[in-house]
Amino acid sequence: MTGLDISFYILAIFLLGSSALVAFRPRPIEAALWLILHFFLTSILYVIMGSHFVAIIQLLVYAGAIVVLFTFVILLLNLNPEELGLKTSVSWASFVLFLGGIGAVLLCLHVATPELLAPLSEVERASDFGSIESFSRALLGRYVWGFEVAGVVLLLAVVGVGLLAYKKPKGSKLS
Amino acid sequence: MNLADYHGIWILLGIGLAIGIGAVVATHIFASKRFYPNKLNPYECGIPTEGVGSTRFSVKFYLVAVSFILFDIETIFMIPWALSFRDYVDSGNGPYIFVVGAIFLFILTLGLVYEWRRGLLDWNK
Amino acid sequence: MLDSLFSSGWWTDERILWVFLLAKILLFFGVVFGVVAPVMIWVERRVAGLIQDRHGPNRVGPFGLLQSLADGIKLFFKEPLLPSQVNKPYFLLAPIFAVLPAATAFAVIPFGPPTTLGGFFETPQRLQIAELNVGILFVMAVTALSVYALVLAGWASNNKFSVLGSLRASAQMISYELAAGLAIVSVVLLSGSVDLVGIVESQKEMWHIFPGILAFIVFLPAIYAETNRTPFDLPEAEAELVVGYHTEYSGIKFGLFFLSEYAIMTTVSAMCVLFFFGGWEFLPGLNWDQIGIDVVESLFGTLLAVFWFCFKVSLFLFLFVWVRWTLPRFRYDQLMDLGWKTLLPIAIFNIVLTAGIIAFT
Repeated sequence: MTGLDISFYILAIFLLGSSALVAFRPRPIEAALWLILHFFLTSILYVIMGSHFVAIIQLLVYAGAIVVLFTFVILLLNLNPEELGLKTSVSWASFVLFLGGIGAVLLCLHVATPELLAPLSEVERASDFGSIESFSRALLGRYVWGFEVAGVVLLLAVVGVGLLAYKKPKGSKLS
Repeated sequence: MNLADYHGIWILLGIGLAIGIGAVVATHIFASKRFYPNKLNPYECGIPTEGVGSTRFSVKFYLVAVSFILFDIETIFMIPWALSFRDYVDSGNGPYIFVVGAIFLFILTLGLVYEWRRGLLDWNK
Repeated sequence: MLDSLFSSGWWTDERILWVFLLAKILLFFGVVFGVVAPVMIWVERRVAGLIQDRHGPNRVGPFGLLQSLADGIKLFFKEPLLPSQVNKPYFLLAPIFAVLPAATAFAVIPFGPPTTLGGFFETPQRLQIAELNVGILFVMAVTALSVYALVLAGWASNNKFSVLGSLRASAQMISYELAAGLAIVSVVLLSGSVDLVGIVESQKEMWHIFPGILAFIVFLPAIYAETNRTPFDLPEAEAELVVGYHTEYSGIKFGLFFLSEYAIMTTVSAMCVLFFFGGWEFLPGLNWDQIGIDVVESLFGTLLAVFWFCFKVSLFLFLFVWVRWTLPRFRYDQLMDLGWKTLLPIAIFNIVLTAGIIAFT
C-alpha cells in the first residue's frame, strides 16, 4: 500500500459517507450541502486518477451549476420535512447499515476481481492522459460529431425548459 | 502536472477552514453575551415580525438557473475548442476548426434566440 | 553563511521546494488577507469621503490607516448574536463557506514571472501557489462555489430580507458567470493556453486588451456583478433589503463575509490584469527584455515585475472603489437584461469574430 492507496481509501470512505448523508438527511437543503461535498470529493478522486480536466469540470458543472439549480428548486418549493411526510431525522442505525452494506459489496468485489483495481500500465495510458490538451485533441478530432450533437442536445434542453416551465400569457398581461 | 501541484491548494483550504472556524469559535468564547428575547428577534427594521421568514418566490429564478446550466455546459465545451484553435490554424486546418466551433456556437445562439423570443429572458412579464 | 546552512544535508531539493511553497503561501495569503483587504476597506471609506466631500476615517493611526485593524478587533468582541429564528449550525457554517473560496481562488494566480530568484534555483520556478495547467478553469470553478455561502446564509437566517437578498445574489452571480465564461473563451482563443502563466507569456508582444477589447467590455461588468459590487449590488440594496443575505449577521461573522468579499475582489482584479493587461509585462508592445531588464535571472528584475503586477492590480482595485461611489444601482430587470440580452450576445459575437480573424488572416 502506497500513500496514494491509503489516501484513496480514506477518500472513498468520506465519499460514501457524504453520499449516504445526501440520502439520509431529512431537510432537502442539508442534502444539497452534502451533495456539494460529495462532488468536491469526487473531483479529488479524479485528480488522484490523473484526470485533471474532468476534475475541474466536475466542480464547475456539477457543484457549481447543477446544485445551484437544486437549491433553487428546494427554496422555490420551500417544503419542510413534515410536509414531505418524512420523519425529522432518519435513525443512525439505518445510515450505518447502509454504509456497511455498500462496504461489504465493495469488499466482495475487491476480493473477487482484483484485476479491476490494478492501475493502468504506462503503455496503456498516454503521457498526457487526462490533460485538457489531450481531451481537446480527442474531442475535436475523432469525436467532433459528438461535439456538435452535444450542442443539439443542449438546444433541445433549452427548448424543453421553455415548453415546460413557461406558458406564454394569452390576452392577459398577467402570467 | 502531478499531485504535488495540488499541495498549495490543500494548504490554502486548511488555512481558510482554520480562519473561518477559529473566528467563529473564538468570538463565541471571548465576546460578551447579554442576550434577551427582544434582541434575538428577526431583524424587521424595528417593527414586530410579520409572517414567516421564508416566502415562496418567483419561478423566474428557477428558469435562470436552468438556462445557466445549459449555457455553462456549452461554455465549457468551447474551452477545449479555443485551446487547440491555434494548433489547428498553424497546421493549416484553420477553416475546419472555425466551422466546427461556428456550428456549435450557432446552435447555442439558436437556444438563446428561442429563449429571448419566448420571453423567458424578460424579467418583468 | 548561506553555503554552510545549505550544505548541512537537510536541504534536499524536495525540502527546498516545500519551503519555497510555504513561503509563497505565507507571502501571498498574508498580503491578500492581512494587507490588501484591510487597506482596501480603509481606501474605500477614504475615497467615499473624498468623493462626497467629507473626511472619512482619519483618527486611528496616520491618516486613519489603522481604522480597519481597530474595527476588526471591535468586531471580534461584539456579541455573537444568534437570532432565535435561525437554523443555528447552518447559520454558523455560512461565513466559513464564504471564506473557503476566497482563500483558495488565488492559488493559481501567478504574482510574478517564473524566476530563479537571482540564481538560487537552477530552473525558473513559478511564483504561483498551485501550478495547475487548467488555471483559468480552477478560478472559474472556485468562484462558482462562492454562491453557496450566500444561499446558505439567506436560507439559514430565515429572515425575509436575507432570503430575498441571497436569491437575488445567486441568480445575478450565475447569470454573469456565463458572460464572464464566454469572455474567457475569447482570451483562451487569443493566447492558446488555459494556464495563467502561459496567458501572460502570450502577451509579450501585444496585450490582449487591444484584440480583446470586446471581451474586456463583457468581462469587467461581469466581475463587478459576481462580486456583488455597485452598480450590481442589488443583493444588498440597503433601501429595500437592509443589507440582503447578511442582514442577521453581526460581529466577526459579518467580518468574515466582508473579508472574503475583498479577497475575491483582489482575485478578480488580478484576473483582469492577467487576461487583458499583460500581467507583469512592462507596457503594451514593450516587454522587460526590450528595455534590458532580466526578470527571470536577476532578483531585482523579478521584484520589479512583481511590483509592477501589484501596481496594476491596485489600479483595478481602485477602479472598484471609484465605480462604487460614482454609479447608481441598477434595477433588477435592467440587471438581468444587461446580462442575458447585451453581454451574452456580445460575448458570443466576439468569439466568432476573434476566431474568424485568427483563422483567416
